[in-house]
Amino acid sequence: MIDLQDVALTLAGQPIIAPLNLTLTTGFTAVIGPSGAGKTTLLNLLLGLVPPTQGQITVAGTPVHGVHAHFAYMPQASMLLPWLTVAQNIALVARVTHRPVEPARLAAVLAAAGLTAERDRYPEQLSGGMQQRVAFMRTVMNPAAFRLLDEPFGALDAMTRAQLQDWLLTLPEALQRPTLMVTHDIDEAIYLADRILVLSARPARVVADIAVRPKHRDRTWLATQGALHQRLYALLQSDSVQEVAHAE
Amino acid sequence: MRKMRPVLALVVIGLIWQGLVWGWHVPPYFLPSPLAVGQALMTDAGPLTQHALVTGSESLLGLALAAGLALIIGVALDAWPWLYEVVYPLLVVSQTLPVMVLGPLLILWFGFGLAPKVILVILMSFFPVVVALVNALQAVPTAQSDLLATMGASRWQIYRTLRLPLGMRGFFSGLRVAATYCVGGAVIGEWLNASAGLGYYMIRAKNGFAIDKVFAAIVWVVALSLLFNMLASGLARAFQWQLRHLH
Repeated sequence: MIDLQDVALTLAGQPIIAPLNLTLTTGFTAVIGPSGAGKTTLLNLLLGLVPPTQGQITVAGTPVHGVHAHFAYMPQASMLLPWLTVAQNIALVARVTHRPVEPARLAAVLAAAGLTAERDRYPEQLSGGMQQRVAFMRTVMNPAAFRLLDEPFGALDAMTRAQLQDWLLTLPEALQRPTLMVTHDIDEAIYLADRILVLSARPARVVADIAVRPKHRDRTWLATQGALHQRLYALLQSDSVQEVAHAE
Repeated sequence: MRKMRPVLALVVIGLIWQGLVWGWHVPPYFLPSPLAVGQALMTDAGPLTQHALVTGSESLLGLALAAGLALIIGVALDAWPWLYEVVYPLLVVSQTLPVMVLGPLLILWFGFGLAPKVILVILMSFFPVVVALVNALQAVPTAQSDLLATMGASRWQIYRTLRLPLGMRGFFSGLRVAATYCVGGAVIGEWLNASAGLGYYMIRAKNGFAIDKVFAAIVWVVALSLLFNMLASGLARAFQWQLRHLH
């Protein structure tokens, strides 16, 4: 369980995150908000890369201070090391923590990503979509109990992004551990998440916490979610969000 | 054919030079013709090779020591920001000092042997390597180091896995520049005091008005500089290969 108790952040006198009280337990949670709202900053707070000005973050009951390894983190860019092969990039966490890599597990992850044939290729030899899949699988190979994804498919074209979203839903690995994903794409949030948190403009605060629990999640179902899309869009455009933006 | 253009340009310059020397009857003690320089290279091939070996050894030793020192100091400057703030401005200011003016002092402090020449080479070669290395290390995206930190990588692991492999590109780029400077450093050291080496040979040839031999020595200096530059490029390629294949 991730618990944010009264967590706030002020940088150079500017409030970035308003006091937040939030609990994240299981499932896939998406965070959406206006551009520059502080979504990535929220992830940086959770990762310990930025210390909160006030409040406390606890992970599984343990307060976190400084950078820690409680989260498997996927940044916006793939950040693959160009001198490592696909397999070596996926197993990077084992390399840096001196843990042995189980060949069977690595093979399974490569197969799930559809990258078995590419295992000995280098990032420069892969397409953008393939590179993002490698980056995602690097996150999957991280044994941390929680996952943080920062706009994992944000840099890709619409078609590749949709393909990777579909692919993600076919992965049992993707859904096993609690995941928090930041995205600017409302449909992506609806399609992938069980819970959607809507942040206001700076200073960020949660203006809506919406559960999404379809019986069967596919593109046909997503096409019927116009009302939810409208509601989320309206929330992002709402007076409450805009007022905060104007008050900045 | 495009690669041959510089060679062609060199041949044209040589022909113009030869024509000017012949046409204007320039005395050989003022400006020898390219053919005379070529002749000096052939007739004095033995002694020139011996002296080039001395200069080459001094240069290579100084370059290797400068590279090692730059690697240690460069990583330290990147790892400890307070050290960077204290030392880096001094390093930059120190480059306003023409290193050759330190020659007499180095002879006073370190004697007439190999040491002052090698130190001159180190002083000339160290700066381009350390600056290129520090710049490359500091250009490593913070987000990439942060990603490794969130995986539980120690500081050393982050250097080993990410910062050094990226920083070494800068290191080798600086080394290629230093490789062309280092022979000049050794020659300056030999001008001040030596009993062998291309600098010593040049001074003796100049004193005897054998300017063709001075030019022959210059050809050797250029050849050594090119050789060391190619060596640095080869090392850079070997490092990149090692990075990919020995993991």
